[in-house]
Amino acid sequence: MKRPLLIRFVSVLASFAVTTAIVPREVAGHAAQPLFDGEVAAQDALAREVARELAAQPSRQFYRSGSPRFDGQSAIAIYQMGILGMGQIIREHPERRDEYLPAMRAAAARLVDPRTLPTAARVWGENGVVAMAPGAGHAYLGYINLALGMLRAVDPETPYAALNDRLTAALADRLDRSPTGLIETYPGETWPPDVAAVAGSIGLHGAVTGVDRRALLERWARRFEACAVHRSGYLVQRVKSGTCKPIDAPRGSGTAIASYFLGFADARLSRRLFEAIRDQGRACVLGFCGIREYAPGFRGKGDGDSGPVVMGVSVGATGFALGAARAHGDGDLYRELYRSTHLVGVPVGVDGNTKFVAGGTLGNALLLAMLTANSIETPPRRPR
Amino acid sequence: MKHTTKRQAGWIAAAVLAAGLLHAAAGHALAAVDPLAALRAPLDARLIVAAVGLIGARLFLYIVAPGWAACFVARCIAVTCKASRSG
Repeated sequence: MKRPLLIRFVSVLASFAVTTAIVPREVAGHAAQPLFDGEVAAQDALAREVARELAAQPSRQFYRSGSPRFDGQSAIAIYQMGILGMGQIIREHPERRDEYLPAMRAAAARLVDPRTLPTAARVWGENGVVAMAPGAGHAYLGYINLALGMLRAVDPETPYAALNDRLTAALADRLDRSPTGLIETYPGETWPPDVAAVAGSIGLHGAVTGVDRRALLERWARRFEACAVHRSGYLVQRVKSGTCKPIDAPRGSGTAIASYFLGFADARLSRRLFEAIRDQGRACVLGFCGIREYAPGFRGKGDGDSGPVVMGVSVGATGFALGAARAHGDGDLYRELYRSTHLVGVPVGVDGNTKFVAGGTLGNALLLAMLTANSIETPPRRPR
Repeated sequence: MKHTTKRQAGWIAAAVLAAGLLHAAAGHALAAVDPLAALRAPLDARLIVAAVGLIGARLFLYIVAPGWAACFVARCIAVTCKASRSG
């Protein structure tokens, strides 16, 4: 190669290497700091879009997939995460209460409607919102009850206060009686991340009402940890009912969401799970980071909980870890994960709001809750 | 030389503008549908075109355009240095 040609080739290569190392991470990460700092304009742009989508939905469910279980669970997740996200914003910016409370109340009405999750009544014989037979787990109620606790935190006069009290008492009794710290979600199905939602709802209820169940939660956390937390620190995704025998691997998606939920109940255990995904699950390329779905030594293809898994990193674990990172005040990890969320999620401005194109209603509601996450133990950030 | 430089700068600016417009148009087209619902429905050719356009525009804006612009700036600097040395 002639010298001028070689110089030109090296110059082109160097130009692309330098810009590729700097520009994408800066472009994708520029919106992370205002969100981490809790700037109201950044949070509003996300929340208004979710509120608009919730209001625009004519029926209780959002998807017609052919699987009543998926359709019901995704609707529960959308309403729950919408309420959590808007409630978290109100906790940081009380002046936003009047804007978001109507959307939260409307979402709560659908959340507690047994027709939203018909699977529960089909498999248990009754929806736990209506009644629970003694000994029946109904851990899916953790998602509903956590949202009711958040609604109550910002709307003490909510008509669902009595239901929140009743569900909390019933679920707390079940956790306290369980020798493993686990209860079933559906007959024959025990999912530790669901149980973390149950515990989170009990913790949030205590913080909101002053009913002190900290001793119960401390006892429960020790049994839960011994049974469902792998030595890597990752949470086992599923165990055989009535035992601590894993029937799925320790997974990043379950660990990250459980860390977020437990931020409302047990700060120590929440932090342990967060540190596991941060220290063992973090994978980065050019400043774009994600969380590995499987704990070291485990492999799999993922599922509906994890979303797509690419090179070991899952969409679910990465998205949920945003919430754990913010709740634990880890701005560096939050920014690194946000870059990947920006790259893959493709946020666009729609009528002044921000919508993640790749998220759909479910993804946008989940990201609202995760990007604005705070916990009872960690005071909301002081907005700039 | 000055003419060539100006023309190349114009090409870069036009390409970035076109990619930006394509990104905006494709983004808005895709934002109107829920990807989870769309994946379960029969394939819509317009959505596939929009998705391919969005990915292409994103790759161009994130990687190609900055590298291209940096190459252009580096070349301008080299030419200026050479001109000042020779004259």
